[in-house]
Amino acid sequence: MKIFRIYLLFTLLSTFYGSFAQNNIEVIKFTDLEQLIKTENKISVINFWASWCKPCMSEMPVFETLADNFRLNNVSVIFISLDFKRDLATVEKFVSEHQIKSKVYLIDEPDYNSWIDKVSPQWSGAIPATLISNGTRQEFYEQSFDYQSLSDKIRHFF
Amino acid sequence: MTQPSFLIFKQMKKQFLIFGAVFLSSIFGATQMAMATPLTDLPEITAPAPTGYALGDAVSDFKLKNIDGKMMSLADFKSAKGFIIVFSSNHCPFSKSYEDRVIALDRKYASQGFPVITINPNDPDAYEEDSFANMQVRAKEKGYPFPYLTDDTQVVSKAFGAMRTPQAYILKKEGGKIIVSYIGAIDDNAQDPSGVTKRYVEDAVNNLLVGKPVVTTSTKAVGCAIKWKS
Repeated sequence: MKIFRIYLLFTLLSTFYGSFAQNNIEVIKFTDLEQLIKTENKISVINFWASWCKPCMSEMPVFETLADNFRLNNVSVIFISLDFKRDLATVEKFVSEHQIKSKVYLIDEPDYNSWIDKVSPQWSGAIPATLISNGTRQEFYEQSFDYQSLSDKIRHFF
Repeated sequence: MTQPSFLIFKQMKKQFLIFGAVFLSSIFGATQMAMATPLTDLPEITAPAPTGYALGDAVSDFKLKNIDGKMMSLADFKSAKGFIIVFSSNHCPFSKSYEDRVIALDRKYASQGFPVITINPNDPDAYEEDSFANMQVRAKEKGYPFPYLTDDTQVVSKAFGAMRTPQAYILKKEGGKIIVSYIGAIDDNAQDPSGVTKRYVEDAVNNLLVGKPVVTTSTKAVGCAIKWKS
């Protein structure tokens, strides 16, 4: 019974912890990304980044703040890492150290020419890049954001 | 069986109370913040359109410092039929991943008249790894058979319209001019050389060597954005 109690406590605690810091990173393919882009009834802010990209890392808090502030407006932030799959551990370390709360995926599609045009023909391939989508309409930005300019873009979808 | 079950229940209740409190306060906080954000409209901030050489353009010669300290120009390669220019850097994982493949390109094509020239376009103030001293170290470690030039003013990189590392430009000498014949990725798999199915640079150079037009003249690829001096 004692063991059961400890187990129960652990389960509960880990559930609480998990609801605040969910950072297990799923490795996805382009078809999964397409599903995320096409998700309706909410506004998805999809940020393409990598753990080696300094300007990407420095703008991540802006996206996290946006996710907090606009949660009730049905806005969610999704980080898509373009790190190599073999560097997954580095990405996981970064995400847990910086307590990234938004969902993080790593896209394992090394033939970039086969998919980046489908995200946006405007995308040259540089990151940071951000796609905002409500499922039917998308806006794409190959640039860094500060809070003001990013929240202005979100309002295009209200 | 020493613990009565109501105690467990009590404990669970306590946990739920804590959870409920945290949950409510987080909702309250989010509402407050969302309301505090003013709804204003600012003018659009758009990224500047990339400019630089397009396919078919003639390239102006340049003079950049090589890792041996000597200045180098395209004109120094009198017998070359063209060039494989690769904008590359020390710090970028994509450049690192392609390093051995770029060396192989030079070993294969320099003797056939298409030498590789690498240019580091990054501002070393942003990436210490891309300093001239570190470029020399890396070139020595890997035994670069090709020049590794520093574009410390970034003028040449801007003239090319380079945006990322690595990014390849294939140039072809034609009627006294040096013409851009391919712009883009080296191949279709940055991560894994054994997974490559399309060798863009090799295919282009192979065609130029036999006087055929290049089939795939431009590709996009992910790489590390060049850090420009502000």
